[in-house]
Amino acid sequence: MDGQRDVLSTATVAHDVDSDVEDDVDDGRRVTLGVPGAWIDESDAAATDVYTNKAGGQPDWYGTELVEGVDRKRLCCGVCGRKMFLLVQVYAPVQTVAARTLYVFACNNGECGNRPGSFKVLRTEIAHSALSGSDGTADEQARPAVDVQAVLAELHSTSVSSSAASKLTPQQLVEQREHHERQKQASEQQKKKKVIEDNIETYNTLNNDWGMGSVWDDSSDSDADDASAGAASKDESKEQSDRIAALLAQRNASDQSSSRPKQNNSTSSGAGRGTSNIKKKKKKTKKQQPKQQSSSASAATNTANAFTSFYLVDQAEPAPKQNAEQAKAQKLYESYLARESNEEKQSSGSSNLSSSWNESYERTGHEEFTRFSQRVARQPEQCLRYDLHGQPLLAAPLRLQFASKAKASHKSRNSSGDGGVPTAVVPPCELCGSRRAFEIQLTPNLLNDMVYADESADADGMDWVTVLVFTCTHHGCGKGKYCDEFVVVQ
Amino acid sequence: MAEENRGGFGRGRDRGRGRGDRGRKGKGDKGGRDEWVPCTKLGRLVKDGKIKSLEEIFLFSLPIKEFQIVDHILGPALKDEVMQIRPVQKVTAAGQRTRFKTYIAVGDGDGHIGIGCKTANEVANAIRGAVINAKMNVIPIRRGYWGDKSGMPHTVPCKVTGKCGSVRARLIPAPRGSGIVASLIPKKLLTMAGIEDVYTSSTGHTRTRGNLAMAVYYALSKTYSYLSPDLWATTVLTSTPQQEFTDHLSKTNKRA
Repeated sequence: MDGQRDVLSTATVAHDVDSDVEDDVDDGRRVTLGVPGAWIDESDAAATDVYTNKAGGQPDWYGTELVEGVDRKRLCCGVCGRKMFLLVQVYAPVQTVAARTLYVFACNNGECGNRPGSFKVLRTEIAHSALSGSDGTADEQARPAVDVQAVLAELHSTSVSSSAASKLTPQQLVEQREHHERQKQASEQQKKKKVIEDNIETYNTLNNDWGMGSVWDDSSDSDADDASAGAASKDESKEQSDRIAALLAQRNASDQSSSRPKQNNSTSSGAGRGTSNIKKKKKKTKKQQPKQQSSSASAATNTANAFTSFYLVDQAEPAPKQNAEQAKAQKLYESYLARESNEEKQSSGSSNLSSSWNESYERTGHEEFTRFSQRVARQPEQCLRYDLHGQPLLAAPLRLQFASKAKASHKSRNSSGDGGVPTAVVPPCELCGSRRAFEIQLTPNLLNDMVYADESADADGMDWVTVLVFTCTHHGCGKGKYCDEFVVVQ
Repeated sequence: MAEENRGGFGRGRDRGRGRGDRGRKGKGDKGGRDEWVPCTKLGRLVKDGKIKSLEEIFLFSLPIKEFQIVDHILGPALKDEVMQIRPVQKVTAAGQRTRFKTYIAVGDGDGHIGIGCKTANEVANAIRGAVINAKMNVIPIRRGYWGDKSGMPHTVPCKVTGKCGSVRARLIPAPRGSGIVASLIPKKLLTMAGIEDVYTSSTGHTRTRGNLAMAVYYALSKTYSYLSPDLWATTVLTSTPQQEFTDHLSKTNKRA
């Protein structure tokens, strides 16, 4: 009895590392974190390029001839078919490859949940040789195929197609006109499609790197942007109904004053200047046009498959926090001791003996999550963790997720190598057959800052704690192509 | 292997561009590193103030994975108290490894109680961890009447019993003014739960305070799972908070 008391009273409140399962243990690893940086000015075309690390917005693609185009279908959710939103775009070169970027897409539809197919990661690599001096040549070859002058002439003609129902309201008339214009453009583009291969990047680079963007700037006709938006519209009708809906939304959004619209419920007609956003509703590969004008337009962008974007700044992970709760814990402890001395001692001193495993009520059932959230709490703003070929920070036991696939062997917490993830879970690369290893993971603050910060965004589509991205370890695999990589969502 | 291939996230060409002020769009200043950044959807809803009471969470049996949720909702009303601290030992090759096992109860005195248990190398760590654990284990308690249904409920609605280990704890409704008729540990728990009058009866090795506390805790948790006649009426099912807010948000956003 007294012995017990002595032990307790001599217990000091020192900082100790070897604590229990759930605590944030400092194992010496410091990964690179991506924390949010400045908001991206979406009207500035030069604000982002393939080398930026950013979250949200539209993806920036490489524009060389070597890069295979990314068609619409690839960026659609495998479960519901809607277009996916860009979560992050990370420029992550490795030694042997010059330029390498990862794009993580997710479906913002709540019903998709985290099912396979609702997330997609693309990775592209460009070798050194391809990059140097290739940008010029590639586009020089592509450019002649686009008869710029002809397209321009086309656009500037404002032909209002006579519609059968002349009793349409002005708004509808405008819509319809634009609809027809678009169709015309689309068919134009179809022709050109055969000349150039289905490669949107060329249009992008035309617009941005080679001064073509200024052409569209000058055009006051909103339809100018439609043509520039690029050709491949395989599923045309769907796209156009998308556009109409987006247009409606833009109208409603732009009806509000310059402050950000929260409720897009108004149905009154508005000016047709919101069409600069239509192209955003189109293929996500479209780079942002300089025509982005006001904040209401940017708010309307969110209905167009993109979140408001911000830069990601890299930072080293800090050490575990020194706990600030010492004082409180100490106070509780002291009051307990005071009580103990007053009350009749209950001798459980005899039951000191080993209880090396916990009682059933002592396991909370979410130790992994607690460890995860404590680790993330070292730097609460982090959106991204980068640890090439390292160990992912799991938020839930993998064996529960992949019960059928995962090996029965116990996953050791301290294992290195493939990051403690059984190879039965992560399939090898489809292109080259080599093993995939962990590279980046997204943390919940990305949802907090990107999705929820913007009140007009459809915030409730996604509900994950972390997204682990596994990429092919053989660098140089799939040069010049966009390859799919594997994703584990928790 | 990892070192040589250490990639260039952060070594891109446009590093300088990212840095800069981050004017948050309408969310206000953050309190630095100490402020709670929610990791779960439920946490976000709570932090944004869309969920105002724990009952909304309890109604749908949503797991509370972040203790700050409870902290945020109940706030300063939540009191914590150490039930027991005892050393436990494990025999290793280098002698014995002693750690401290702590039981802590938290409660707001008005229908919510939680018990947490944690073992750690130092007492302070154990206490801190147990408080967090307790907050995650908060449950609602149903109170009822002994006889006359006048005034506020003051006792357990029916006889309930809970067990843990060898300890059986039985709670019996008592008339107003009886007070909590129990030994020390159950008395503390029941006070924190907000029960005013109750008779108790316990059997087993009640000297194991941990087990006794857990037994009382289980008994209290049963108050809401007991189907009494006044609950016979069918209840209307509502949508979960996540669903509700999804619908709300999707209504305000026009989407294709």
